[in-house]
Amino acid sequence: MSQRSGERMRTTRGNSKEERLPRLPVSIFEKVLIGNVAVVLFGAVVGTLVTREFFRIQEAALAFGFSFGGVLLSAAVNYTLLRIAFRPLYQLRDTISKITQGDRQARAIESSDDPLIHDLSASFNQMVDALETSRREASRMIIETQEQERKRVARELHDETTQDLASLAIRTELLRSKLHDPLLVQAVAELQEEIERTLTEMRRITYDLRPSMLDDLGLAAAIHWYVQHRVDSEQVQVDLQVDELPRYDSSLETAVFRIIQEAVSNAVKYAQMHHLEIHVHEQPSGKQLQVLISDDGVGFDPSSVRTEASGRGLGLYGMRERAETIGAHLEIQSSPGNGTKILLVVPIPQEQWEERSDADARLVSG
Amino acid sequence: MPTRVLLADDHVIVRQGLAAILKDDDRFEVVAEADDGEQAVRLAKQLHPDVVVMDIRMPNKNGLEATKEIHEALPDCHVVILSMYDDQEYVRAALAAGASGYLVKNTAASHLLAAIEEVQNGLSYLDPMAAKRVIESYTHPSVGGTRSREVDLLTSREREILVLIAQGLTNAEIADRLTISIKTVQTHITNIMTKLNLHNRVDLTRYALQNGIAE
Ligand SMILES: Nc1ncnc2c1ncn2[C@@H]1O[C@H](COP(=O)(O)OP(=O)(O)OP(=O)(O)O)[C@@H](O)[C@H]1O
Ligand SMILES: [Mg+2]
Repeated sequence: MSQRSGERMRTTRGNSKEERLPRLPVSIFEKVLIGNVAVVLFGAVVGTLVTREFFRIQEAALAFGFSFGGVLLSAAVNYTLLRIAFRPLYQLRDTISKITQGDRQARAIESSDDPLIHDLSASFNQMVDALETSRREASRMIIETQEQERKRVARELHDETTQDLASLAIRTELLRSKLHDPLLVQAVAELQEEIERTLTEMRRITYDLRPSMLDDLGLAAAIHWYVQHRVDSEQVQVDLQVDELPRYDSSLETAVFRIIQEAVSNAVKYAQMHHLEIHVHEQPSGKQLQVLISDDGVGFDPSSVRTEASGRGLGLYGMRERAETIGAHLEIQSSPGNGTKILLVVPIPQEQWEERSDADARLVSG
Repeated sequence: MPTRVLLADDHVIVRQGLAAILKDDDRFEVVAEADDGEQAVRLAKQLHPDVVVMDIRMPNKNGLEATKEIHEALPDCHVVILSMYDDQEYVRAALAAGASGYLVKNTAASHLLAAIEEVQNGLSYLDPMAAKRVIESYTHPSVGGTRSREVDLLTSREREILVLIAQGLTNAEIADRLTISIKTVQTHITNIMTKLNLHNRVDLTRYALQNGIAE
């Protein structure tokens, strides 16, 4: 029995401390059994002694008192033993409640002496790990699918609907130039105005879905465009410094743009700031992109933000997820009253900075 | 002799509309139409038009890349960019690629002829709305230039730890000095390494010395 559990120990993961301590594998069941046998044995021996000593004098009250004391004592011993025996279970319960409250890093301690408890903790951890992995996978897929879908709809609106409207505008202009009746000219002019309004609206929708600049001109242009449109420069002093950047992988450009977009949008929505700094710097070696978004606003406690069922608080969460998909390091530094600083360090995949020399032949960067 | 124009746009109806405008005026002649960027470059090299009117978003090769190639291969051929957008980012990119004119599609009908004439005479022509955007970008006081400085990557705690590493302290000693746990020290060091793209303590020490963080 001890042989078998010893082997199992080695196969499941354990920490170094438990390897150092010589272990006495006794299950809860055995502990309770041994404890109870000890109590019964103790009761029987002491009871017999007591009975032999006092029964002759026929002091029933005293005998009763001793029995009662014996029962209390055995209950106390039992209680203590069970407490000790069940401690790993209490710890497991605490871990579960931590996870329930949103601490995804919490794991059960796997160093119990009890093979049963040990196995329980180990499989519990495996289960939580597996759930965490599939949760990550699922959210990655949601983000990716949403982005693909946005891209598709934006492209369709741009390449089909907007183009149709534009050609309509061109043809009505052609028509107007051929008309002589002022009433007709007036009517066509009104028609043109309506087309123009619809076009403006379509452009807004398309940009909201996904700015075409990100695909046509790259990250730097898209960031410039977004910041200028999102931040009211009458209210906020903006320090926007973006290096001239080469074209990166579309997935990298998208992730970085979306993270900056969310950070800037949060700052505009919540910070009540006077200054906003946005720096996007490419390391001279081309191996790393450094992004800083910093406001001097009200700040907040990042550890207190939890994703709610209502879907609020998805912004910061999405930022972390996106950073993870491109292997970037994301830091959210903020506390109430001290503004907010968001730092993103993106490693550029080797094949992208190596082929940099022929990137010149590719696209004009914004 | 009429001005010879090449039209490049993947959207047939837009192209037809523009062609109709040009056909109405005998100062202009449409020599060819292209559906994509590659075809546009090929036809331009083959036919040597005076002016190319080019959409930005096209399959195979986008209008900006095509403009760059045409501009380099045929310096006498002028390109007018045709776009859905009047944002200054697009205008700047078009001009950087070598275009001499920029038109926004839906108002292109009223400006097309003037634009072609101007660029053919070696001048530039911007759609009035696009021109306004570009001018705004210069008068916009709050938005800074395009060269950024190195981002300050380290927190003050991380800086502190970097100094101690450079002084040769072990993790345990650093933990002791700052009264934090060894695990926290390790986490900080991992973060510093990720951010600075360095991989060992020797590199960290060198970085600290070179950047005047420690001496
Ligand atoms: N720059 C900031 N300044 C002050 N508070 C901020 C800042 N950024 C975020 N917060 C706070 O953090 C909370 C969570 O932000 P997060 O972006 O995750 O969610 P949200 O903006 O409320 O909703 P969503 O982004 O999903 O629309 C915000 O509600 C806000 O209270
Ligand atoms: Mg948000």
